[in-house]
Amino acid sequence: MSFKINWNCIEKDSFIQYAKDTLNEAMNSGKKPNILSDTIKIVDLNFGSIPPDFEILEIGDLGSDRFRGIFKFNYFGDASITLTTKVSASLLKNYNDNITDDLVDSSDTAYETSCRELAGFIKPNFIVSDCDFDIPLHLTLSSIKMSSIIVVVFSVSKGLTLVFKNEPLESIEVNSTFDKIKPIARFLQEKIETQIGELFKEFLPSMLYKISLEYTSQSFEQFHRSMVDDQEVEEPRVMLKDIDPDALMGISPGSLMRLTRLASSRQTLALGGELSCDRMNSNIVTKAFANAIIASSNTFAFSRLHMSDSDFIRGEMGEKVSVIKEFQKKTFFKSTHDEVRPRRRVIKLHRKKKVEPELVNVSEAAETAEVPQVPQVPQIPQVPQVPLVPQEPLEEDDDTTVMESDSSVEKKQRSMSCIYSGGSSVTSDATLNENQPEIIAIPMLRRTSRSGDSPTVDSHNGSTTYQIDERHDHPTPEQLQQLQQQLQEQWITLPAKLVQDIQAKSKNLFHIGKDEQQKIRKRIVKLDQLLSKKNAVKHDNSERVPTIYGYSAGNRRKSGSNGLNGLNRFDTPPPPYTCF
Amino acid sequence: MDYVQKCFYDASGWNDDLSYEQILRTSNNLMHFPIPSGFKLSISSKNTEYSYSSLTLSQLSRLTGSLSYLYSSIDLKNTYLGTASLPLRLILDDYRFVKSPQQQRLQDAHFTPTGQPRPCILYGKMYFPSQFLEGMLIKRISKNVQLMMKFINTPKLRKLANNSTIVTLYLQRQKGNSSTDFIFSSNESLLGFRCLYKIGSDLSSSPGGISDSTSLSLGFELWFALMSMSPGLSTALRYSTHLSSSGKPLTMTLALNPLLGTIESTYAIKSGLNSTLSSKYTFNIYSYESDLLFGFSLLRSSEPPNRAVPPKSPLPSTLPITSSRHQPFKSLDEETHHRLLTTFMGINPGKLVTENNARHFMDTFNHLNFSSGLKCCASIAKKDLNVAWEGRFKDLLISSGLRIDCSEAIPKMGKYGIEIQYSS
Repeated sequence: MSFKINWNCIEKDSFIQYAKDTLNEAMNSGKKPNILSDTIKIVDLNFGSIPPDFEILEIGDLGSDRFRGIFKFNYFGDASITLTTKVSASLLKNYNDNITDDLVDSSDTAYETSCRELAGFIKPNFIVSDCDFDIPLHLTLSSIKMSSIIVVVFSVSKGLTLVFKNEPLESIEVNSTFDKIKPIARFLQEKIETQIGELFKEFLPSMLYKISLEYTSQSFEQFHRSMVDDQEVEEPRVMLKDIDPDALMGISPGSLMRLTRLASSRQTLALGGELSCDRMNSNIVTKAFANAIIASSNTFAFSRLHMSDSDFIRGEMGEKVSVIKEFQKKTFFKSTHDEVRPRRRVIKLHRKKKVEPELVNVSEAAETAEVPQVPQVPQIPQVPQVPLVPQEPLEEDDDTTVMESDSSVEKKQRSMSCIYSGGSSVTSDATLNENQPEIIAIPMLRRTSRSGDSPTVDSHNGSTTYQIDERHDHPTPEQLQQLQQQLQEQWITLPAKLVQDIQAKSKNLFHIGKDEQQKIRKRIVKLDQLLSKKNAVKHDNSERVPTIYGYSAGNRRKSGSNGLNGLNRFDTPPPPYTCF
Repeated sequence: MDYVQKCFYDASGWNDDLSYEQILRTSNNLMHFPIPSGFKLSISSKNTEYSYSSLTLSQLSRLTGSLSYLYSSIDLKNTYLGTASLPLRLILDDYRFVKSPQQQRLQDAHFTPTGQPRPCILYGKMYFPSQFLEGMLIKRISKNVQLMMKFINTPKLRKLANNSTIVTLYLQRQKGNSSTDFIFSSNESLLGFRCLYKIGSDLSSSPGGISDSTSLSLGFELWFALMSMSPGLSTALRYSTHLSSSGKPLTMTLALNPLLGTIESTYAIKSGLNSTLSSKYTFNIYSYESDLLFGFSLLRSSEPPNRAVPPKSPLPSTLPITSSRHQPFKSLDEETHHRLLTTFMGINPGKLVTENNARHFMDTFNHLNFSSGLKCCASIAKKDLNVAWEGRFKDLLISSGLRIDCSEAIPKMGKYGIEIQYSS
């Protein structure tokens, strides 16, 4: 942990003036030595531009209103202080004054008059030899080098206490009006070096204590505000509308998800994880939470996006996938304006040789809410692609093929990818084994790109690029494992949760408590209302997909589990939304 | 006890005025007078012929006091007087008249040697409750040489403080018109040397010549503190004379400190029988710091005391000119006739104006009795005002003082106090 010290705050005038006044008062308090015939005044106090270095050695006590720690303190900066005073150069006058002061100092304070009488008796009666003679003295201390171990104890009620454990001063440069007179300059240098060490040990802590009392009598926010006030004003705020005047809130859904993720990780200090909600802002619906919502409800309209086994059986998958594709198309075109073709990853399932290629359109995901995981997934290496022409049989082991998708429609795809791990064995059975997770979502940052070399079968007609082979067979566990291994070959690491899901596929990790269900239902109702509003505005034949990005059926379990896992990370299961 | 010391000097024939220490005495009396602080009560008495004791009580922040004993080897009965009958002129430090050589000769002639050729005085004072001790010994070693030793001692009051003892030795030598002093102090091993030389013109050759003196005194002092290597040097010059028009005595001094470049010049004149005016200008040639001080002193004369005042100085009786001014010559008695004529014959026509004025002034002055005196001094650079009043009230001597500091917009009171003395 390190400190970032905003040293510029100290250069504020009011603080410098306050420090000067406190220092003046402190230096002139106590008994004035005879050698000085005038008060000490600070002419210039400059904290310099280089802040001191703090290194934490130990923190003993940390609370909201108190702090105790041991630091290693280094200062090699350019602070300087200039003092002015008058020195009495009348030596015999000092001699006489010293007699009086020695008597007064060495005895009780109540005997002062007696001391003066006594001193008057013994003092030699100088005739003009003890006249006043004052020489003004300017003293500048600069190039202060300090290094020490300090103990800092701070509490809001008691202020700041700072103790130097050892001698802090390493070197100091003394310039004065007596520089031309070498003996006096040397004397001043030695005297100040010895005195400054004592000064730091005794005087600085008390001064800091006084300053801290003054400043912590206000609240912390006020204090920080007053210190940082100027700087905030200086930085101009950037408005969203400055970025893109046309589309005011034209932030892509992906960016929003990313921002949400960043915000939530800021709040919880989690570097990753599957945070399912933004605890502070109930208006942000994170993907995982939305998945949780949707997964818990079976009655929602957009539950149609569930790709359940029955879909495959009944053959409704195509519709759902088309819904997905439509949605993806729209979002894609919303965010891009150039002639960029969307890339779709196509995974070809294992099929029989003579059967016409079965292709499953795989929507490719670029980023999800799990952005931090994504960078771990390297680029999918180029898989030897076999152009799917009817006349070419596929290799058997070629599970995944990439085909260009939708050459007529050029759009990039940004949604959750799913690999339809229908298994390696391709049969004419269109249904999938229900015991497997139908769709395992694998976030992919990059898609292997195929830029239009291998025309698909679909390219002929320019229609949708997917073909669903409805003759999938139930993939066996061995096939799953194989698939996993193959996937692992392609990607260096498999996302952990994916592994978890593969292994725990039979476990029902999806459990939401009753009150949470209530809340979720309420939230879903609200969303539904939003939906209907949206439907009314932009009506379409198909039901609109709500702004739940990157959702796909296969995420159900995973997201559910992730949501739960994310929930489990808190001390108490937090209600995802405090208000509805 | 200063008074006793003064009496001792007079009785033993020691001319304290001849010391360099006293060269600026007039201006110091008028402008740097002490101001008591708090309340102080002092009771002294002459216990026996040779011993005196004194007790003081003072209250400033705390009640303190002191007890002192003095032993003199000669009897000071001629000179020592109690406060009831003490002519205030001796106590009020006012214009300090410098004795002319003739006066000195007269004084020496009338000096009756006391029993002991080598008188000494012993003095000790203890402060309580602080248990400070101070003491003094003055011993006349020979006719011209006097040794004085002063010391102080403090007990160990605080754990870390040492007791401090300072001993100062003064070896003073006088001879006619010059004097030299050697000083040694144990505090920082201070060595000092003082020297004064007086050039007095004896203007009047008449037998009745009194203080019509014009004198020029020159002196210097040299100091060196061995432990702290602090040197000190100063020279001074004093010119004391009388105004020719009215006979008023005046003193001008010039003092220099060559090391630090300070020049101090003073001017004091006794502008009337009751009043004295003085001014002082200080200037530093290195730091250009300067100061101008003004001071005056007013004396109030009163009726002569009940007891007949013994003649202070063995001078020939003076001519009561004023008393016989309004009477025709013929009606005066025989003695007065005689006196008038002799005095008239002694007048030197050439020096008529000056001498007579001076003489007249001095005569009149010496016969005046004062009941109180007011002193005031103001400093321009330091912006302060010192006021002191001394007087006698029913056998008690009262001194009070006040300092007002005008350096800020609102004048504020500095030191103030009152001191009551009684001695019998």
